[in-house]
Amino acid sequence: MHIDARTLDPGTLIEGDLCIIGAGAAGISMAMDWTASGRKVILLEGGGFNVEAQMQALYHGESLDRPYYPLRSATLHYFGGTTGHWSGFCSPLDPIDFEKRDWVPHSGWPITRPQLDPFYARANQYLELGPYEYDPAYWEKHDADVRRLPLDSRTFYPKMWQFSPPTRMGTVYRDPILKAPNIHLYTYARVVEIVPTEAVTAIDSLRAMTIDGKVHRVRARQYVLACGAIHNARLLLASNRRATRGLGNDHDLVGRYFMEHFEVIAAQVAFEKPHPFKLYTFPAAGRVRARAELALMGDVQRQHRILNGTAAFYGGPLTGKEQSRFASFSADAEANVKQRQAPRTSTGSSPPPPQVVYRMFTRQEQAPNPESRIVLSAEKDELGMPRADLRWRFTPLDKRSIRVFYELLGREMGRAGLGRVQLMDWLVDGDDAWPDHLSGGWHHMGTTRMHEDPKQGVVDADCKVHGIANLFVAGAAVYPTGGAVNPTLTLVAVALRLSDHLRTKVA
Amino acid sequence: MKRRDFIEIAAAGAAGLAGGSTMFGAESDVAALARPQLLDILRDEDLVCDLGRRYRETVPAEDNADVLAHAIVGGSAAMPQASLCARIAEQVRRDFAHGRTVTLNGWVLAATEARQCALLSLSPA
Ligand SMILES: Cc1cc2nc3c(=O)[nH]c(=O)nc-3n(C[C@H](O)[C@H](O)[C@H](O)COP(=O)(O)OP(=O)(O)OC[C@H]3O[C@@H](n4cnc5c(N)ncnc54)[C@H](O)[C@@H]3O)c2cc1C
Repeated sequence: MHIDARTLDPGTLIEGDLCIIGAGAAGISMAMDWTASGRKVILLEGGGFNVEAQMQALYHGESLDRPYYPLRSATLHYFGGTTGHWSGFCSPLDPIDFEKRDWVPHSGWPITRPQLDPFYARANQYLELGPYEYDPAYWEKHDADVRRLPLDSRTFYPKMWQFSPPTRMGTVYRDPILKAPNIHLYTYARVVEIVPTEAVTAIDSLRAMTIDGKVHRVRARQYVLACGAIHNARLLLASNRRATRGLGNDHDLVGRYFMEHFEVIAAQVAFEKPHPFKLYTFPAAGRVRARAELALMGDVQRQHRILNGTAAFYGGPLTGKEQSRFASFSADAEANVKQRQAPRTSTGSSPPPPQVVYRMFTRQEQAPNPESRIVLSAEKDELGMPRADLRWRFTPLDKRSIRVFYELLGREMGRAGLGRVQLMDWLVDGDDAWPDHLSGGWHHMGTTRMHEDPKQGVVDADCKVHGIANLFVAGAAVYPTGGAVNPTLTLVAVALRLSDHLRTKVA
Repeated sequence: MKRRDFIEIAAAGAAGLAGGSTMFGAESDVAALARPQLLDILRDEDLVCDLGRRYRETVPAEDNADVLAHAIVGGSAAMPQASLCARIAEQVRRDFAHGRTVTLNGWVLAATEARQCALLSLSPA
């Protein structure tokens, strides 16, 4: 069922069992999971059904410390959220990503990979992926042309990815949500404040505002914040009338530990002779799509005390003109969405001929860092909410990990007699300097991190905000660490786990 | 002096250093010392020579053909007549396996092949 909040009388009280704030990847997967529950679910979406400049302007903020994508277009403020222009690369986190690693300060999830596996399998379906199979042996068995490089399997392995069509959640799940009698979707219902009880131990209600300034009140038994990692933190910090530091922020953690994935060309590999590369090549459209990137085994990360990362092969040598996407990504979200949603022409089914020289594209985990954070700006948006600014900060471990990865790859390529690796200059020069062509993955994580101890995390293992009985967070904001892979498959899995947990609360 | 002649002289020097005439056999074995496998991979002799020059700058104590040749073949006095090529290839592989690598202009190279590059770079073009 759909209600445009702009059509309601000002001051309308909206009530239900469960309220989900934000209809993006996390919020829509959860709502879909409740369609047959018989419970009244309120799904509040700040935007409408299309991307609009006026709504995106509410997302404007500054990157204060280093270049980044324009914040007004890096995430999307409409039904479907940022899946309106995501690329669909999916892979689960590795078991080591969940562990406490003594060389990675603040690492360790309170849940393990096996605990998340059943939810990953469900998330795979929501994102229209193939079978929940990320073991390279499975893919090799199904295609005789798919062969891994003969590298030492105790050091490097092919980390598998699958590719979502990519699922535009706002398109694929619009009808099922609108047709579900128990899901009450309110568009243009932008939450501007979460109002706690007097004692700040539970949520009393929400203030939702339409773009034309009408304010409505929303009450539910349980609340889930699913606005993306930047805007989850923003909303908690801005809800500071009763809790002066912001909700869930007694220990000054909300907004801190912002993490991205480093995406950067870092090296080139020269093979002595061409190798079959189908396993590592971006697959053609129109079938279950999977490919591998090189990754280091957990034990090797442990031995060298480095972060997790992967490397993809891009055909052809370094050009010296490698470019960052930060500058080229448009601030015009409507144009971006149009371009990214345009039908793609299939590149055919055969991979390009194997080459002897490849550029290596790194995706790497960023170490959790309390100084890397989302902060409230003194400036307010059109609806009177403080804007969110970004302070994206790195640690020496971030860069050292990329360098060690390629040094190890260089050794292993030589040992296996396959070829040689050249690290780019920026990688060899110290641990602080980063190249102009550094990009990120548009992956926002960590701003309401998960930890059993309220002094070390904003939410507990059930994604509940510490100290507040009925407020939960969904999305990559809860990640204590981000692993090497893109976040959406995992955040949908974690949201579905939360969904199961809430069933017991709303029974 | 041509690069090839120079290599032979360097190898002879190495033989002297190792103290045995059995150290080097066929001329092709001798040439192997200053012919890193890297040439087959990078396919650019100037580039490989440049790496060699960088090695000599980085390790000035080895900026000398005799020293380099000795460092490559080691002190094994009783080296068999078997292919030096195969022996060096195996040594390169073991260097990589044991992390005996040097990074020159970003290239991760086995210590042995870096010295081979240096030896190559010492010969006039
Ligand atoms: C160009 C691009 C490419 C990407 N490619 C990949 C990829 O290949 N693989 C991958 O895993 N990830 C990718 N991502 C990231 C992916 O899009 C996000 O991880 C994912 O969309 C996050 O889901 P979410 O539900 O947490 O947030 P979002 O999808 O951003 O949804 C948040 C929702 O909350 C709503 N909202 C916000 N504030 C309020 C409020 N105050 N009140 C009410 N509603 C509100 C928003 O309108 C939105 O609908 C990409 C992102 C971009 C930009």
